Amino acid sequence: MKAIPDDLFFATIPEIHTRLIAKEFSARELARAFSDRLEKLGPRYNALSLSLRQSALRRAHDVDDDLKRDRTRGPLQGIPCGVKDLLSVAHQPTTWGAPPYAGQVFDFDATAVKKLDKANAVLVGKLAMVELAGGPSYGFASASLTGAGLNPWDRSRWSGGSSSGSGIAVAAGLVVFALGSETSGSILTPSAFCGVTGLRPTYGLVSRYGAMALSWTMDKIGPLARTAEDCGLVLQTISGGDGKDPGSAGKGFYYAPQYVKQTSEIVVGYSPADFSDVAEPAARPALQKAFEVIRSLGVKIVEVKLPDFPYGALAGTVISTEASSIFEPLIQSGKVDELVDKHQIAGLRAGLSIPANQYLKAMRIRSLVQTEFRKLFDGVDAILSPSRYGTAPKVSEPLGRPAASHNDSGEAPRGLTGLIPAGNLAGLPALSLPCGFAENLPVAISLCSRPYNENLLLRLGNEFQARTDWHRRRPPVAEA
Amino acid sequence: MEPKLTRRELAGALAGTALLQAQAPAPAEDETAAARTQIQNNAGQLDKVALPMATEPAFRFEA
Repeated sequence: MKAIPDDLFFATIPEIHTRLIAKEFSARELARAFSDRLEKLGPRYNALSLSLRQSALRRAHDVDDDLKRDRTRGPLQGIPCGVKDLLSVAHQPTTWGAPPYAGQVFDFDATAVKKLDKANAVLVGKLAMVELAGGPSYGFASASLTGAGLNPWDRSRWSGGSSSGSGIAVAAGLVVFALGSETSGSILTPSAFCGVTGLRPTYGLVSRYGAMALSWTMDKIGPLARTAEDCGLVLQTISGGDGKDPGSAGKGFYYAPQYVKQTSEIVVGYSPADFSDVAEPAARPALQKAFEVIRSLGVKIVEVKLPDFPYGALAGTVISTEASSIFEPLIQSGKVDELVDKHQIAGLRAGLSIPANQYLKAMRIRSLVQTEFRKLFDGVDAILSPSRYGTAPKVSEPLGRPAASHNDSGEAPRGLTGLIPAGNLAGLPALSLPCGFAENLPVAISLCSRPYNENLLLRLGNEFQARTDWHRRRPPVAEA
Repeated sequence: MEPKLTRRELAGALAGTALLQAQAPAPAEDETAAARTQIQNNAGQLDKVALPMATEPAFRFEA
């Protein structure tokens, strides 16, 4: 049995696949090494929900059989990966990160899991998450069956959520890539806090069949990985129409960033305030340098303002109403009280009393949001902003409210702080890129674009990462 | 010297404490009230948006 070199745990999908094809190591050796690492280090960060070592080794054995016959099956062949524990894997526990569902087992694979398997990726584990993907809201990082996601860069800090285990596992080199989900920030936030690359796809591009539903009209599944290119390769594999998902757009995605318009023709919108006075002071130097790198790509930079809507209130109303409807049996049975986070329990209960009129008003305003974003994207190809305006908070501290554009008194927003709920309400794709450090914690920028424009985001991401090495940095604790 | 309480005074004091305890909201009730307040705040913000009568709810989420 060959020892897998340490650098491989932080390599990209094409790098590992090239060496696998060259038979530097077998798929079984690779799967065993990643399983060992996931089982050893995953619990240290509360990142592991379930190791799938045995099924991974069987799958890797099949891959080795193929490779012996020179049968190559695409870039994910033999690549060890993980999925957020809101995706069902047949006959294995699927906990949704929540105590009331700790013993839940489905007899079918989620479509995204099935597609990874068809691409010969090797699923080594299910990854921890915030319970019920955060529900309407949660007050503490500890809101999970597996405890607070601990940041590989500093275990006293939070990993971000709700795809906490997915962010941690990629950052700490426990998997090569992972699937997460986003309703309003759950891919972008852990990507930013853990220093990995995360892609939130356009709503409907990836089937959610077999995934826990939190909000039918806002849930999306997407990759967290080392690079923008890796995200593109994974999205290509998991995207596509699915009659089993009523929200499916019936479209696929082919990773081809080389065919989007020339960089010099790309117009990027931003708000100067984001990089000067809105971001936390410690994060500003990294964000400002990242902005200069984006400018140096030769794109045209223009100032933009978000359409003026109360995005936080809109997202809050939509998610609360839909989540409380979805989990009504849990609430009515009283088992909701078994959840870890009291904010989550209260939010689910209260959500049942939202009047139909309030939900419909939110959904009607959403139509206006979509129209205004269409107009905005007539003038720009992408919007640049900080992924988060500061670094990961301490695990022990109560979490602030999610980024919203207006506060409760309806004051106007500063910068593009409402872009996460706004982009999710409008179903827009977004890419988070690590861009430096503040106080030894990762900082990241995001690019957001019109629906189905993932290749443009990935093109910009590739070029940004060709000029920087933040995505190559390794957390020190993970190597101990 | 210990203060002397009549049985009637003691019963009154205990009843008062019990009443106060009953009135003090449990933490879970605080959370639920806060969640309801947030929902009302959200409704208040939505009410401020000018909404043309012809606007239908969003059903599709693409360009």
